[in-house]
Amino acid sequence: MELDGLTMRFGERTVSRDIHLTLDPGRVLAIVGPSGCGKTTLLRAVAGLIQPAVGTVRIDGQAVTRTPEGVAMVFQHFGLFPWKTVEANVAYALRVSGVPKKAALERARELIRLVGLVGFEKSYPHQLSGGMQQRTGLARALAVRPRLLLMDEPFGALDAQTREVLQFEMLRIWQDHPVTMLFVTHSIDEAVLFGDQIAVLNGRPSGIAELIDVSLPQPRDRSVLATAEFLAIRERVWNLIMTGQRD
Amino acid sequence: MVSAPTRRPRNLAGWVGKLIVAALVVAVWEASVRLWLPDYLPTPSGVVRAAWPTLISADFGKAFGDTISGVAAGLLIGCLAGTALGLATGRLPWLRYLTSPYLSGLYAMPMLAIVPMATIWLGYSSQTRLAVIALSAFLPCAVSTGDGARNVPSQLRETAKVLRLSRVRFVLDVLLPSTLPFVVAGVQVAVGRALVGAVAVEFLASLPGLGTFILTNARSFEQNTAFVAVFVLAVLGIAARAGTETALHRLMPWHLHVNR
Repeated sequence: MELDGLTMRFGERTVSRDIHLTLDPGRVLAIVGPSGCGKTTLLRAVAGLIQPAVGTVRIDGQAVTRTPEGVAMVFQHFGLFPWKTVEANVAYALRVSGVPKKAALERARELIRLVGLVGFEKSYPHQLSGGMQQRTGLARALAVRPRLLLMDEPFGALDAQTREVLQFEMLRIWQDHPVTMLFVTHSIDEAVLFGDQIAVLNGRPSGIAELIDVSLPQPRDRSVLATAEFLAIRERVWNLIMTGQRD
Repeated sequence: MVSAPTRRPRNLAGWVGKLIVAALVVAVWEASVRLWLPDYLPTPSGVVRAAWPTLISADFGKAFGDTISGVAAGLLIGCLAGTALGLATGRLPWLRYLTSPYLSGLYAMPMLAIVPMATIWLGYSSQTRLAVIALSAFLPCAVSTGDGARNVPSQLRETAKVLRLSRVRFVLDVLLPSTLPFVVAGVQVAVGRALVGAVAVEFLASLPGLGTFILTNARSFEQNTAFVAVFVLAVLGIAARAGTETALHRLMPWHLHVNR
């Protein structure tokens, strides 16, 4: 995936300017920045939900005009169909990509197991907590074995505790089923935890303040939080964001 | 993990309260007619006594049949056409632009205002009743369904795009289910308006039916009998409401959770 000189505008207002980023297969790129810096807007451009004012998004060399095949997304607001059960929501993503009914259901059950929702297959989203709804969203996104997974502040709408639980669970799932991932978050911890590389956005209109390589060893788990390297990167990102805020 | 959802227990105190209020209303009604008011006015006991003979009488049966068949046919036509137009206006901005002044104007207008003209156009016939009922049902269905179809939550539209849904899939799998609660809301309003329309046409055009049954009996001081028919109409309205509510909860337990 490649962002080539992306400038995003909302009407007259330029949100971000001249963004260049590359994401190689199998890697995780985290985009972090203060709220309102346009990181979600960038992600939406990658998903083909909006068009950049200038520049091109390319995935496997193809310019993106609508959501390309094999790209899945986890939304901050979960984006589940309220009239479908957990199982049906997950299976639906498979059905529309051409998987036969029986295989789709089997694969859905497998993913429901993976995200720890066994026993809730027949529940409707409104009967579930936010954390469980997002587990469903995650299962749906992973079910199609995407070549690129877009994470739009996936844990942003959850309370602090649920958020932490889900972060580490996602980390575990990702280690077992690695997938190329673009991870947008305003949580610095999350960015460092998941990213092989972190793009720090700051300024108005925002630009990339710095690209930081995260050399923390894989697999990562909760113990990483206490390492000197984690703290050092965290501090560096924090300072970059704060510098931007003062401008 | 959260435990599986449980059903809300029935509130016994609430039911007892409702019964007490009902008993009070009936008692005050009965007492005030007996103690202070002229005796040709209906009383609860009189209505109860009149109930069975009225319900099994041929007159009432015919009136009931006339009204109900008109209401049923009018609702069917009005709701189907209204829902179809509502879906179309929700999806086609130009159609909405062109039709909305008429829809919202007619929706706000009391349908009874056209009955005198309708009787001239269509005659003092059951066609007039059918037309008024169908139009009364058409409007709320068109307006409510139109609102629903136009406002598919942006989150769901985004999900649909990311899932690369085709147009047909979008309409069938996203637009229709997310609009369904609005369709039901439209039908609920339509049922009420249809009953009002039916009775009003019968009053104004002297068509055989429950409206005329009430009118005739009331004017011949058979007010208890007239009241039986009034209650039947009330029960019909309540039953339709309860029926659609139950269907909504059974078939669409999620209907309150289509985020907007």
